[in-house]
Amino acid sequence: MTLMPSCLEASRLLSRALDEPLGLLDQALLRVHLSMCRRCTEVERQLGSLGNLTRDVFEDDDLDDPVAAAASRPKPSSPDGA
Amino acid sequence: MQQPMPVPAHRLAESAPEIGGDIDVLRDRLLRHARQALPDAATAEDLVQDTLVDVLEGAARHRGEASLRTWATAILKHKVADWYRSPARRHRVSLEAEDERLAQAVEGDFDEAGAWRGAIPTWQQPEQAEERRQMRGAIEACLDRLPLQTGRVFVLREWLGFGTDEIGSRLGLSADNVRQILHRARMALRGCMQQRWAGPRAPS
Repeated sequence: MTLMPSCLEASRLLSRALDEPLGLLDQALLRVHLSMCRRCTEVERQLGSLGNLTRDVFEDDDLDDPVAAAASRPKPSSPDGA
Repeated sequence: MQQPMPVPAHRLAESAPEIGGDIDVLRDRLLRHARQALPDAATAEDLVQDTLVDVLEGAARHRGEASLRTWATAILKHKVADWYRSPARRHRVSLEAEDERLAQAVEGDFDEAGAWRGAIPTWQQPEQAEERRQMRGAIEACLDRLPLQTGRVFVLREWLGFGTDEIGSRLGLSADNVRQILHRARMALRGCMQQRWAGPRAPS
């Protein structure tokens, strides 16, 4: 099982998957790791929301209007690698 | 060097009475964004100045589909992206000592086997406007704490939507370098948010 990524390696793959498509092997290794690791599963959620939070800060969405805030929040071009 | 013409506050107040005296607030807000995205303060000032001129000229036509601030921020975003995409410029970054220290801090999150050292508490989802405001305050504080170069790369990715390859070519970095910087930025922001947002609110 030397192929199995550690949490550190999984975190690199999680970050990379937010920016570009992962190769099939990396995707598979990451999925297996996540299926066995609750911490990395939570980190996956957190890393995803960092981008949304940052865009909120920069796009100056209206905090009092969640509908408008969600509608005006663009996803950066990111192929679905996760 | 030609001095940029400052936008007179009274002119903006005339053509955009809804912001009126808030021009300084708007300028500060835009400058904060521009400084996080650009390599030097002078360039940030120039692009914010250009943005305010556009806002001034367009304010009479701008009627409410988005707040003036949101609109101004969108104009600034285009100007920053254009600045980076201008072929006449090169914007090499060098990773400073502080970025290297960040790398060590990130490695400190993991043990020798590469497993997380500590617990990963769940982030509470903000429900009320006040909680969303607090969460935004936390991420802003965490962004401010990122080393400058690391912060810029993250902002190019998440605000401007530049991809790994484009960031690399604009900043003279390899794609692997960019991946590494983005990973460090995210790990540092995650750890900071754990302290400022999740930690105090975690049930246990």
